[in-house]
Amino acid sequence: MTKQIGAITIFLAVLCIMPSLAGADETSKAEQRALFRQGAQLWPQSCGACHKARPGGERSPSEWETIMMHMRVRANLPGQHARAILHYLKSR
Amino acid sequence: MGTFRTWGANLLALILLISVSPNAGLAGSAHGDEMGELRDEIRRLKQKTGDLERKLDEVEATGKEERGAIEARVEEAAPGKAVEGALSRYWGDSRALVTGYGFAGYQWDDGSDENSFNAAFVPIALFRINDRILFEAEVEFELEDNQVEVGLEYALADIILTDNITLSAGKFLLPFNEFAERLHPAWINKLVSFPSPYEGANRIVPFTELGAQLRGGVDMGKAGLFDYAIYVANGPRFDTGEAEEGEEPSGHAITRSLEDDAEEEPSEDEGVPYGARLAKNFEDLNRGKAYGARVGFLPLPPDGKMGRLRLGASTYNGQANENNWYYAWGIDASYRYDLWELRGEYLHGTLDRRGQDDTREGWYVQGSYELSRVLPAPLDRLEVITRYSGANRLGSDPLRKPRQVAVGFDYWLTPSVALKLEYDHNLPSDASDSNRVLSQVAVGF
Repeated sequence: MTKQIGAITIFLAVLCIMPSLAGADETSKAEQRALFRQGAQLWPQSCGACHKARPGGERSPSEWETIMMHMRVRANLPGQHARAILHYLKSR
Repeated sequence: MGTFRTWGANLLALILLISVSPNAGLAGSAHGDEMGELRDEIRRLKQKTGDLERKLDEVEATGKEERGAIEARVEEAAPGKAVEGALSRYWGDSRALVTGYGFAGYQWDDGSDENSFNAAFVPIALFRINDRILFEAEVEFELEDNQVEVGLEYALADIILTDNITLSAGKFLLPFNEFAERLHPAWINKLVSFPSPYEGANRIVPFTELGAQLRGGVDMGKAGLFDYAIYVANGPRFDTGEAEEGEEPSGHAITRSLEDDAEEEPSEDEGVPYGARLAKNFEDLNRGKAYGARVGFLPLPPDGKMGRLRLGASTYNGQANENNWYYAWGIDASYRYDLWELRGEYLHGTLDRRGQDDTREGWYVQGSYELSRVLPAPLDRLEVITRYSGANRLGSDPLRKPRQVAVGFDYWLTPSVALKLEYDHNLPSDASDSNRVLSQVAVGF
């Protein structure tokens, strides 16, 4: 049991220090434009599936990061979709 | 002599003329070439000057950039700053956030003396530890029986393992079909009431469970999108009796707590009786756990040109006590195109009692249309909704087959603030609340 707890603790610690969402800030302008277009396409489809899609101006970019993490889990969004929608919301 | 002089003068003049004339032409040509060369030289010099100025600007800009970077590094390396910077990168921005929803409403029942106002405040706290770990909790404050009911709707830690796998542990909304987990908040649910299979004694699966789950979504490109959730949890628990006296099994108001308020302890000696209701299970009754899964498939391309179609299937199986297992399964579908939305669910549950099974089922179909292209402003924010829902109990009380027709109008002040008005007609028509009007102001924040 102690070994299991130790293994879980190490596993969680590794997760904690893993780098942030794969280098989203380092993408080129062309990649960012593509991400924006994908986000603009997914935003009404993914968000509007359950509720009225809320505009990006409602929240600050850093708040959207937290909310999108919550929605990514709740709506079972693939990581790439979540990043695209987040980029779109932060850009508006 | 005079003639000689005249001839000599003429000859001299002729020689001079001959000798001077060609020289004068050559001098003019040489001057022109020189001017051209000078112009070219000036042009070259100007170009060189321009190039030098540009290079100088570049050098200055690079110098500023490098100086800024060096200064930042020096500042970062200062005592205390390094730790602060590392922590900042670790935590990220905006670690804590409060979101959620609230509502206030009024309900009028035909034939009942319980017309009443109601209200609730449901904050959701989000703590983003870093880009991979999120803790979220929803607390519900609701006016119930002349007091404020406080409930912990859910509280769980989410750990994003990969792009397609998230581990969640804690108390979570049950990923069974869509309504409980995704559609029940007042600012999302387009009607005031809940569909029959999610209300009171008709409930087929618990709203929440305590356990752990793996979930996520996979983009399969042209093949569509697949999402899943698989979990293990404490399992179902049933109270001993039928619906409490005076409580109708269906068509009940909907503004009550999601959890059943049954407080009676189950009687393990007698086993679980017919008509048992799902109750809280914060502490497991036995060593048996509940296991369940939900899968969803979205076959249409994400550009939305053909709309958005989602098809889902769910299962929930758990040990209710030492002798009885509960098996439930469900299917759900939703289709959204332009201003139209159509969704429906079917749920089926069986409490295995060795030949005397308690089987229950429920369903609903709901359609809505936004009137933005039909009505002029400001009425263009209206949306009309209609829903037909029902529940059956097989084996125990075959007469209990409540049905409900609901029609509603929503006026959307913003995408998260709605004024709702609903009329319900419950069948059989002799029920105490056969006709009901509900109104609500719902705010998502």
